[in-house]
Amino acid sequence: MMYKQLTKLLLKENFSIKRLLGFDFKKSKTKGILIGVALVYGLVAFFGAFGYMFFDLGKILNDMGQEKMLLSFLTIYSIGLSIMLVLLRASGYLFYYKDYDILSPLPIHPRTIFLSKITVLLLMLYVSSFIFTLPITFSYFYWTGFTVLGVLFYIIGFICLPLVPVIVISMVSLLIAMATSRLRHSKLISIIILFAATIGIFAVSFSVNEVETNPLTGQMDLFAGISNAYPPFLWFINAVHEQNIVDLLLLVGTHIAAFALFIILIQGLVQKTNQRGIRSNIRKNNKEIKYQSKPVVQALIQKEFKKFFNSIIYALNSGIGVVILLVMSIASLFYRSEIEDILAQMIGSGVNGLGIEILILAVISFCISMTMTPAISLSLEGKNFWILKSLPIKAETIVFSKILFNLILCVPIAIISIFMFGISIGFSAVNQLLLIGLVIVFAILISTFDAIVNLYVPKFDFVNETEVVKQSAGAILGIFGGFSFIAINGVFYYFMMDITSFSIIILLMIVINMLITAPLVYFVKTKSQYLFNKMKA
Amino acid sequence: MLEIKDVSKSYDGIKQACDHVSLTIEKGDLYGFIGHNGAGKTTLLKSIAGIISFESGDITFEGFSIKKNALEVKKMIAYIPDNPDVYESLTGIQYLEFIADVFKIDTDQRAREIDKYATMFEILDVLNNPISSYSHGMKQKLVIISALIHKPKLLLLDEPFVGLDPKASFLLKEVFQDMCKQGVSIFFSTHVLEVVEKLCNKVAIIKQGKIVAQGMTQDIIMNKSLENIFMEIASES
Repeated sequence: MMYKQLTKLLLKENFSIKRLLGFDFKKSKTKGILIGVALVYGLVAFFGAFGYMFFDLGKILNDMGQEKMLLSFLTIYSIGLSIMLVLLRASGYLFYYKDYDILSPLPIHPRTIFLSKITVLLLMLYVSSFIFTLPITFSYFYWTGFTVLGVLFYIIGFICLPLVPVIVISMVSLLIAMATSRLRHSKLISIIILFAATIGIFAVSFSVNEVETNPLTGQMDLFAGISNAYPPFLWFINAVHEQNIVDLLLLVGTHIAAFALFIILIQGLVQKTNQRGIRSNIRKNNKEIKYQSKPVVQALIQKEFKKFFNSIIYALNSGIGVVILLVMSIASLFYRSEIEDILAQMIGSGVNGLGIEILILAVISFCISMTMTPAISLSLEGKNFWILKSLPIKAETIVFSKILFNLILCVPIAIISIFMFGISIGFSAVNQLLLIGLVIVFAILISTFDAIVNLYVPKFDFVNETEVVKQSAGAILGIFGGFSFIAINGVFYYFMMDITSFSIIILLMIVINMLITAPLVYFVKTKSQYLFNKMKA
Repeated sequence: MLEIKDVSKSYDGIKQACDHVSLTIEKGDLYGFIGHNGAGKTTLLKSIAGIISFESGDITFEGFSIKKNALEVKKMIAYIPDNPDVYESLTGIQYLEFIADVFKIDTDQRAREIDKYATMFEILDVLNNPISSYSHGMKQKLVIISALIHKPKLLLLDEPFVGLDPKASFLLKEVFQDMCKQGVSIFFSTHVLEVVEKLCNKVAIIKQGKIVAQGMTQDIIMNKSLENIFMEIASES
């Protein structure tokens, strides 16, 4: 009874519409409609792009009689996502949960609290994995045919499959939290570890196989190899594809048993870690204080840097774009011949032949769009927002500082990467300069747009920063808004490519992006104070 | 001089958090502000500090309106909230430097003031540590120091003694008295009626958003205690 009530409460606390969006839909209908449109756009874009790719892959595999390869994709994508989510969240959900002080004095059995917590974690995992893998599931059942037994086996398998990775990654997450907490720059170390892991996954998924008609075909051998190496993947694939009851029973039996054992054994540890709390290494710092005065904007930007590198989820989510860009541009120096194929894989099929410069530009723009700190940094002020509101700083100064911080994050790396791609590909100095010009203007455009988004949809009320970084309306609108601006530029390039030269098109794109940016900058300058005043602190 | 003229504020458009509030706080006043929970103390303090907007009336300090010249007012005041939530990613000294930069305090003055108050409140040796490692009382001390280093002309404090140890409370009261002697106006809310009784030259009592008593502390109390006055007002329907 208490389990049900507590789980309901935790779900509401974590996933209510108000919590996810940061505002009450009933009270802000216009905002709600805008967010609704953005969400529909995002879903259509995702299902359109991935749906098409997997539908196309399904067709290829169907011709080859290899439809079950789709299940390899499904298992690996689903487990990959589960690993990332559990790695980021297990520590805060299970071992060091923030509401421990609220829940522990209550007459609720620790086992009930633990079960509720893990239920919420698993539900989040299942919903995310289901949405993410829906295009693959649809493609698989479309090409093999929908059968009641097949769907039933798929549902049972889908529920069981992540359980063992959850166990392993939870423990890894705990070990990382415990190990890094004893180090001086624990958060920075965690950020580096997670960046390295993400880049590793990225490198594997964009393997340097020869690109054919569909970029996913390059991953087939690798995924088949992984599926064969890890028996539960094979059990799942055989259970669903051949409706093999023995494999299903093996999958269910082993995973349920392992998970039950995990729950029984881990309870004590969960209780202990929460009781002790995370022990940060706060060594007494006796270094002499050196005072240094700075201009207000510099002080604000410095504060943004501190915030950025102190929040793992913030740094990982907003920094991954530029890190990938830097790694790719360095890698391009060593893998010159393969770079066009890799870029084509990243962007999607049907882009070969557009020219290497435009592929590079698309990748850089994509990475810049992912660096969207202004879309969330105001929200991340959270309960500290009173400080900015009570200080004699103009609202536009605060907003422009946040924009500037984002530009500092992405523009230098974008310029360096253009130089490195320039060396590896060998395009002209003029084109390099034009690309740099466009990238700078585009970064200003995206950053300013993101800042406006956050001015309209701030989310100050949050328990965990993940709510702002991953789930807030600002984050969703910021990322998809950025992709929309890429699409606008892409459409313009597509219609101009046969009319005039690459250099002229880029020059025109610079002008167009400047024309879009100017009113946005003017908007920030004139409306920030008004919107600030409306915000609750 | 701080003038609060007929200020009204409602969060939901129905209930008035502040209902036609008018108060004047003179130069050098040490003004206590009391009322039950939810009476409107924090709302009024946040309105004066320019943190929240209000529907009607005006608040002026030294002739500048918080509605029309918010920046000018904010340059002269300091606000301390009821809960010392500060940037936990910074160290204590980084936070104080940030505030000093915003108020454009030169390095000599900031060094002098930070050293003076951090020594006084006994947090000098933890200023290099992250704020996340501070206790509630240490954060409260840090926020108090951040409010004092730029020498404000008006100090607004929302329950400033909560979380402070007895020594720090005593020192803060001394600081208040010194500042008032130098012409600084202090307006603070508290539930500790004895503090108001002993420390403040003026007091205002707010009930359901309305000021129900205000003036010289001695005139309000007369021969009774502030606690008796407060209870009498609270029991009136």
